[in-house]
Amino acid sequence: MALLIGCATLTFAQTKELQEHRFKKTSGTLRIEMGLVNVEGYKGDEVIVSRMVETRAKDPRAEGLVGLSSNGLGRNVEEVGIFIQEEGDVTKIRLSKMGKSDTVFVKVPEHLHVVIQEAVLFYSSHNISVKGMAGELEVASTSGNINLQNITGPVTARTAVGNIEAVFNTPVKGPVSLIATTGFIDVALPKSTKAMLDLNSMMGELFVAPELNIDVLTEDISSKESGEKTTTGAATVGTDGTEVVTLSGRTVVRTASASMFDRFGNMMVGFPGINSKVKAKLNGGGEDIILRSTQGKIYLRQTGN
Amino acid sequence: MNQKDTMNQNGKPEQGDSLQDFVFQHRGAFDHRLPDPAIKERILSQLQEAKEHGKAKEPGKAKIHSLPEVMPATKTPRRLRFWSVAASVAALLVLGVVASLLVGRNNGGVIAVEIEIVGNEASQQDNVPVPEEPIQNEAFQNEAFQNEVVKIEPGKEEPLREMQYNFINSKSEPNKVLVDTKESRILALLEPEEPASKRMEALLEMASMPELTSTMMAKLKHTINHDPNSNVRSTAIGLLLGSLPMEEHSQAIQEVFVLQDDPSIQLELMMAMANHDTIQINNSTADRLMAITKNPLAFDFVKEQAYAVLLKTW
Repeated sequence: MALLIGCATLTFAQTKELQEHRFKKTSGTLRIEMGLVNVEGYKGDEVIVSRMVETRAKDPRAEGLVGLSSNGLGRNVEEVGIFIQEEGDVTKIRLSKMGKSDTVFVKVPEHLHVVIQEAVLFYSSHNISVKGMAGELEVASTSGNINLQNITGPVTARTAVGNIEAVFNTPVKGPVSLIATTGFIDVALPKSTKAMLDLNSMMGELFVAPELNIDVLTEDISSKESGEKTTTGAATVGTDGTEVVTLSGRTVVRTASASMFDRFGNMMVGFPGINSKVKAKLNGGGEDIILRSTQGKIYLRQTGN
Repeated sequence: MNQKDTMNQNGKPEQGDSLQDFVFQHRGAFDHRLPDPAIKERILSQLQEAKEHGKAKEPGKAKIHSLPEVMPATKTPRRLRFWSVAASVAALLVLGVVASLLVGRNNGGVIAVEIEIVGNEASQQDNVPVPEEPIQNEAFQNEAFQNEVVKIEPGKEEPLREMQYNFINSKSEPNKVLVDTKESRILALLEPEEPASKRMEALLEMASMPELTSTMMAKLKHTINHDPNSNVRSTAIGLLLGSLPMEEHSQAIQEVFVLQDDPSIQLELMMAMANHDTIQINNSTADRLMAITKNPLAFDFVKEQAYAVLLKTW
């Protein structure tokens, strides 16, 4: 019995191995049409796609033929299970074989413009991770978390069901727009970052690191109902439902029962949300950083440097 | 004998000339010595005589002496000829590009562009007369540009791109006038071939403008309905509704909603509808809401919000 199990395990282990495909790409756009992908920037001139795939013999009948999909002709890299297509200066990569939900690893030249668009028919949780990119990023996921580490921007990212975490280790370049519908948004910026912040959560709350030099331009719209105070103090919720929020020494007081407005300025009567909406300058203003969540919280913190 | 004739391939004198060998080997000892100025004067006078003599009787022999004078005379026309050819080629290329951009897009129609120089501070500083009337450039005769004025601030923008954009949009608004270069730049940045960050920048810059022209509003609506990036569309929606009076919000929200497929945007717009006191849901919106509730791929929270709007406005 033990022998049988051992043989079965050995057979299973031998059926999958890490396969890799490389191609040159130093300019233009790389469009990755898949979820569950791990992208990492590096100082090189090749795109390297690697994936754990089941070992399969090369199809001799496909010798000398090219791949064909609904979008046209392309290269079907059978051993990795990906389909590569060129359209002008845009190179598209997507899975040609649906297998186990193993992460696809893609190493790309760090200054390349990368678009990651999850392409699934039936939603499943697909996490997208990007690390060490200095070029423009566009990330869209329907159902999964987006994790961005050591990036510079510009970046647009959104997920319907999932959280977005982003760490900028150098001051932000270009506009940053992160949108999560149900999840939270957590962003870490260097203390020296100059930015114009636009933070908005319809049903969540906003939290910022006190070390950040934030100058609030327009406070929560709902606070207009109850006015402002200029006192200082920690963020608290009083027994009468009054919430006191402190940002850079300026305190906004709002009552939970105050009339709400959506981000378009429409009054939301009886809406049980919070609708935190803040526009502020970070270190005097600079690049636009837009963080927006419908139901989740927004956290803004500073990185170590 | 010419010294060159006595040199071998290494630049050394041929064997057999002992004086020349001596001079070559002790070149350093001679290099610091200068000839007597009188020798120089004598040579120059001889050259002048030979030149005059050659011009009169033996033009062939005078060729060497007249070389310093002849060389500039022969080089200058070559250089001029080169630059004139280069300038002609460049001019032809520019004309070709302009013609292909303007004429090619309209099947060789007739262009009439009025180029008006505005804010020509540089010209005024240089005391260059500025024409009071717009410059009539009849070289660009095209129907699509008839009655159009392209105003260019010198040194700030690319007039070609502005004209190109003006042409593209003139199909929908034939008598549109692009007055502000900032506007034309924003409109150009919103083109789909630009990266998302540029389109986002354009929208944020648009948001800083005191008011939006009809052209910008049309482009904004186009962006809302057709931009491939949800973040860009979301920002554009906020900008559109922020620029409209409140009484127009309910209609605008519905117009935007029926064409959106992103759950984030759908949810936000439906929440706005659900909480709008006086909204009247039209048939298109109701159909779209019903479609969402029946869509097996729609998220539950999106379906629930669709039900909420339908029930509230039933």
